[in-house]
Amino acid sequence: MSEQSNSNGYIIECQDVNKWFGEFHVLKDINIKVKEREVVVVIGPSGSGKSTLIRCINRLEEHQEGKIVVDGIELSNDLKNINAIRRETGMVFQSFNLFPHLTVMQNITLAQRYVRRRPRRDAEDMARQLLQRVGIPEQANKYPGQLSGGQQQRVAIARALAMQPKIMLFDEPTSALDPEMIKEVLDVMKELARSGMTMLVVTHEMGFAREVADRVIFMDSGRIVEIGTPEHFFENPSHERTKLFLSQIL
Amino acid sequence: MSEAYHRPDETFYIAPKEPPPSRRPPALTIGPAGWLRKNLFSSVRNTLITVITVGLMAAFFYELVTWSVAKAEWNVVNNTMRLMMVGLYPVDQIWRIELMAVLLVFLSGLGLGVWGGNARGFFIIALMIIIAALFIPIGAERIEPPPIRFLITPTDAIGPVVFVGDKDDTVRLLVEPIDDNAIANETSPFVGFIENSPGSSSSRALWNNAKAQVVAGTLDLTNYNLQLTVQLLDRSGKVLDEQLSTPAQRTVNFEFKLPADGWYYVQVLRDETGEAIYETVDGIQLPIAPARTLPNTGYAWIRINGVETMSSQVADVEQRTKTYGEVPAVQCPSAAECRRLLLEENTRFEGARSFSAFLKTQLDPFLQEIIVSLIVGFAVMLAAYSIGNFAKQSRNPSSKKAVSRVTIIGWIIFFPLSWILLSGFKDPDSVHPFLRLPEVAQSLWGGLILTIVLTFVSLTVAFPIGVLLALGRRSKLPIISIFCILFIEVVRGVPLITILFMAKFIVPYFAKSMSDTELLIRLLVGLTLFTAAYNAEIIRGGLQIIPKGQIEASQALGLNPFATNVFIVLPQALRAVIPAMMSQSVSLFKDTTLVSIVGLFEFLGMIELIVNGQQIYRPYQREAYLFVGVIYFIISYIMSSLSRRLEESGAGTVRKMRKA
Repeated sequence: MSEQSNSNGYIIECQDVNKWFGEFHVLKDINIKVKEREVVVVIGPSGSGKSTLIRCINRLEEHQEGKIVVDGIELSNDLKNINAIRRETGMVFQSFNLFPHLTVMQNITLAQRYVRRRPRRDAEDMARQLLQRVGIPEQANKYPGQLSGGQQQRVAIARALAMQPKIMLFDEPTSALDPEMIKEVLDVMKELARSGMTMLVVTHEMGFAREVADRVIFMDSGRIVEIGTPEHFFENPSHERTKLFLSQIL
Repeated sequence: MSEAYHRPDETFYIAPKEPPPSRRPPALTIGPAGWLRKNLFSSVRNTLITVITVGLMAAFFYELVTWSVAKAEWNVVNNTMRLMMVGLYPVDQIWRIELMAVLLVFLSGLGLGVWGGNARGFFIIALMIIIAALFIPIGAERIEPPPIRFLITPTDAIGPVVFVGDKDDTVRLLVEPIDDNAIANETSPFVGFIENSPGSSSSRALWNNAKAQVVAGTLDLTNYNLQLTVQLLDRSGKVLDEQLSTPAQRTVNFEFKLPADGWYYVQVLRDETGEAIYETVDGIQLPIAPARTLPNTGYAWIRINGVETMSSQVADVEQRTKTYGEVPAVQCPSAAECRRLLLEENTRFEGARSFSAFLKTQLDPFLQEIIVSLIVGFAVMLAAYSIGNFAKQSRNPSSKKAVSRVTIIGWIIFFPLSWILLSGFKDPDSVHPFLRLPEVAQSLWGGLILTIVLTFVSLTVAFPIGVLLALGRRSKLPIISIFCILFIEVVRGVPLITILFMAKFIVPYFAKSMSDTELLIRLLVGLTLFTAAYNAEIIRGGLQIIPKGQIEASQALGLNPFATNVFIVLPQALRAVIPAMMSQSVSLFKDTTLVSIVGLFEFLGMIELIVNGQQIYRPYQREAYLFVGVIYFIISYIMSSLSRRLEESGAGTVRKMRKA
């Protein structure tokens, strides 16, 4: 099965995914296919279900109908599958969700050591490399509470990358940041995109979408309204809802 | 200069080139005076509150300290120290408890040194306590004892009054007859003394009786005479001096210099001859007291002055026998019986005592009891603290790591090791000779050590159970969560004493196999389950404040639920509930007193046993309970200040986490 999916070249496949919160229908017939090394940006008004969508992909939310296949593994209630998928997908949250009781170094090495079973020395080497890569090598022994928001989010990215995931999920990574810190995080994400990481990004940063995205998905009221290249999407949107949305934010 | 200080309320203004020099703030706003003004006397109302509160506190402490120094008889504490601390633990095995205490102190010192702040203050205080302990007790002067007096009535002369004296002490004996006026006018002849046994034959009862008769007019002392022999005897019963009180010479007053250290006693003999007393005048014997025509004794005080310690200071008797030998057998079949009588019939000193007398008679014996432990304890503490702090400050980080590892392992080993040390082995020959400790039955454990065992065992065992219950209560599996909720709510809904009664009476009834288990174990199980239920609720509170994002982040990294709990949720939740857990621990420490109701004599129970069960200590309940209170307070205070340290310092604490 894994070979079959990989031969398609799609690393994430969602087929007719539906989800409800109680009676509320959040996701309606979602169909997405993401290729390896592709950067897909999901935009849409708040409450449109975009965060829920990417949270379904690593099973932080459970979908009720349809099929989600990640890296050839179908998401089911089988804990083994879920953990296998989570090992392959890194996630970055809006509110960072760093572990406040651990130092930056411990934040980055914890999962490496207990999930990947990496020796401590290797895990720390990896952490130092990644901190270098996100531009804050000197903060390794501080606690998250001692860092600025932008630094915290970069640590969160480094923490996710330390697991060497095939896919990175970003859930509004810059929404909780002060304006002057957004850039430092976006720079890291751009660098990551250029390095060939498969990325699924929920964001309101249109500049980022335009510059980096291979495709843009626009969602509204739980359904996908439009999928297209950034050029098509920003220059020449087809759907009325998309035009309205863009006119409001640009 | 003056134009340099243009006020900026002018429409146009340019500041002078030179900034004005900095001035000092107004004198009354800084320093101690400023602090006082700001915090204690900021307004009329606050001033009033300050004055009233300080006044009340001062009055309370003044009373407490005056009473403790001038009146309290602390020897009840000194004499029963061993019982209070270790109960009936065999004397020749107490070293095991001492070893345990030394270990405990050592580990605490090590921990404080490695993890605590650079507590120079602590270091200095510890040093000061050691030095003070070395120097305090000695050098107090001899005490001028209050005069003691006993009532002699028409029907009763006093029994022997026993006291100890040192060589060259001058004893003054004074027999002072009293008449109706004296009885009617003297309101409280016993100021300074309370009687130990308020029996009908006590001096106070006799006095009250006499007074009642005088007031009622049924007693007329006018015609009473007094005919007594007052004798001073040494321990062997040899009369050292005696004097006769006759109707002619009713007041007897004589002094005697004691020949040696030792026990002495005063004895008053009634003239039982019934014969007339004659005086020879010009060769003719004249009867000056008719034979038994009137009762031959009246009321009189006998006062005894000048001996350092009177038998009245009962609790000292134990101490005295060590120095002066056994109580003399005076009018009683044996020395032991005499001692018992002496102890039971004596009166309690209630007069004011000088501070030097307090040092000599109260503090000195107390310090003699504790000085060795005090010095050893603080010395071990200091040594351990120094090691820990040295390792902490050393440039080589691995030495700190090594010492903290030793400390942690030490604490882990400490609990089972202490249990083995305390209880020993049923069959000591079967183990390594090094560990050949004879068994000490748990029924012999008592006093403070039992309190500590109860507290620490139930705390350490209850902690993991509490964590499991808290996690179980939040479990998604309904069976597990229902079981946990049921357990927690049932245990929390029942008073601790009920649980202890169940452990004592009901458990053996249901589970026959448990009936052989020692009571201590069963009570420990009860205390542990009780604490676990409370801990579970506290920990659940901590779990609830962990943001969902933490769990999601952990899951997203691929950590399984177990690892998420162990590495992410619990460390944060437990840190957050340290204050609540610690107050629960302190409260458990105090709740252990309840086991005395079901038959184990822990600290408070032991004290109750001493002051209620032992007649000689019955007058000293106040002292004993105050001592218990102080000890409980000290230990509770140490526990809660440790928890504050735990909260405030150390890696990744709540405070550091929030310092965003």
